[in-house]
Amino acid sequence: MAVKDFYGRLSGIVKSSAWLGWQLESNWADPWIFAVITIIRPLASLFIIIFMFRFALGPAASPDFFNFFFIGNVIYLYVYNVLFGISQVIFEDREHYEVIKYIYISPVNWYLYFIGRGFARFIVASVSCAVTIAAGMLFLPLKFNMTAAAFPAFMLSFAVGLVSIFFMGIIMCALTLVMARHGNMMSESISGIFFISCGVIFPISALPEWLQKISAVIPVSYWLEISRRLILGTDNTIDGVWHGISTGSLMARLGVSTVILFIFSILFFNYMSMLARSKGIIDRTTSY
Amino acid sequence: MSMNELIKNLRGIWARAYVRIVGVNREPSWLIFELFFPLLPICSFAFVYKSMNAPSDYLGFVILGGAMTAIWMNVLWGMAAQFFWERESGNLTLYMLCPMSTMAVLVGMALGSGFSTFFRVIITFMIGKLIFGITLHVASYFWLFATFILTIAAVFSLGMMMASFFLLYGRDAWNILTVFMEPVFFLSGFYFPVKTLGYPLGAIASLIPITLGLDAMRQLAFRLGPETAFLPVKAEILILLALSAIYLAGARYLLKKLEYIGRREGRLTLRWQ
Repeated sequence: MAVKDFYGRLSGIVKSSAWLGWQLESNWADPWIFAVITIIRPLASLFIIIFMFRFALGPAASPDFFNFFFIGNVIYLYVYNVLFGISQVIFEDREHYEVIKYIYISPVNWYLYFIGRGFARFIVASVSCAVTIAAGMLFLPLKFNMTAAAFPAFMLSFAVGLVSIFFMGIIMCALTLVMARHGNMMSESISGIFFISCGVIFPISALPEWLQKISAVIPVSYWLEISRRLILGTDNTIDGVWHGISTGSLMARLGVSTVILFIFSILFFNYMSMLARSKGIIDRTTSY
Repeated sequence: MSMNELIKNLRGIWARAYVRIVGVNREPSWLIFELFFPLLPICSFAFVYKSMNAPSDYLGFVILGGAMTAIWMNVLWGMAAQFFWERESGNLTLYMLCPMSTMAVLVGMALGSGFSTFFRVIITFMIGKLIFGITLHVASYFWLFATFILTIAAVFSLGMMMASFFLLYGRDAWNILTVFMEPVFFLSGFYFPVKTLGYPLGAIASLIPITLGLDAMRQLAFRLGPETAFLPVKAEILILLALSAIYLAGARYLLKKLEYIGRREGRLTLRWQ
């Protein structure tokens, strides 16, 4: 009973903070304006790549390229939104609304509070993702061959990949606790680094060799490659870096790296929040 | 305007510009992020072309476009949204109390940002050029430089116009501003020549001055530039001149109008909207 109460309380924190996050994300506008804004950015990103292909390759562009970048682009919507969204919470609560001290002294688990706030961005990313998939189906020569047998594996990899992003978001959030407002550029930069190094819109094999080695140990890279293989129904994609590595092995790597991220995120978050408290900067406003 | 008023406004312009010019040196972390951040999408999109074995001039197009994103980002977040920050921090009321025109504050912001962005774009472009080994074939350094300056002037005039909306609006305008990022990168052809969009869409995109500025600069700086031209360079320069004048006049009109509404409805001091 006590255990049930304990988990009930934890899920209550996540639910409440997710609801708060959603209200903050969406309550400034009419739903349709909010929907337009949520839709328009990912569509524009998609069209940038489509027109780059059209410009460089003309109508002869191989569908393999489209499949590759499209899946990467869709998954990256979650990476960007959740990663950026969680660390942005610190700036919103500390500098904009100036409520962080009240949240800090309330009886909620801070770690779970930030996870919950990230869920709001997950919902926004899911809407963008749905629109992008619909646009992709309309405008691109996509060929998805996911089998029914591959679906559970895809869902598992999606869940694990997503969870790993939440943990990375918490690490960013912990760093942000001891940074001034301009620290939000850090989370933008980290998302940008993932955009380059994880082969979101081009194969990792196009990168210089030293960067390929770094790319091959980032969980997002595993997540992208697993998703591409399962959605396209193939053992290999056009990215030569992963040739010779089985999907099962990639799944194992993704799982292990996520567990490591989980442990590290708890330790790092606790350390940074203690540091911020000892320096007296938890509710600091910088006006940068 | 009397001589005394003119001097006050010129001093106001310099004071606001001074903060922007000197501020960058006082906070080196800004410099790192503002040089480093635009490089990330540049590299990503350059690698897309590289993975397709595209000609090196295409990489040059991306690097130039990517470097120019610094201007657009500065206009959005350093110009247009600045009044939002000023209002949040309480500075906006101080500006209103000063014995000078609000337009002088905006012009000062634009000059200060334009100055620092000018160097940022050049440095980012040079780093990108170095990383990807791009060769330039400049048709005329004078016209390339003139087009660059004119583009900055026109884009910052547009930024001044957008800034006036923040006298009235808060989080709603802030969020709407985010819509002007990727869609503008797409419409203005930051990563591919705008001609690829076709003429009707390209013509609409030309209302954003950076579209024509980028197209003209690509024509002047790269061998394959003229092949992908949307309009002749001369026509683009003339349109940029016209847009600068229109947006500057628009900024003056909107600032006056929206400042009046803001005062009447008591929105100039409203925080946490």
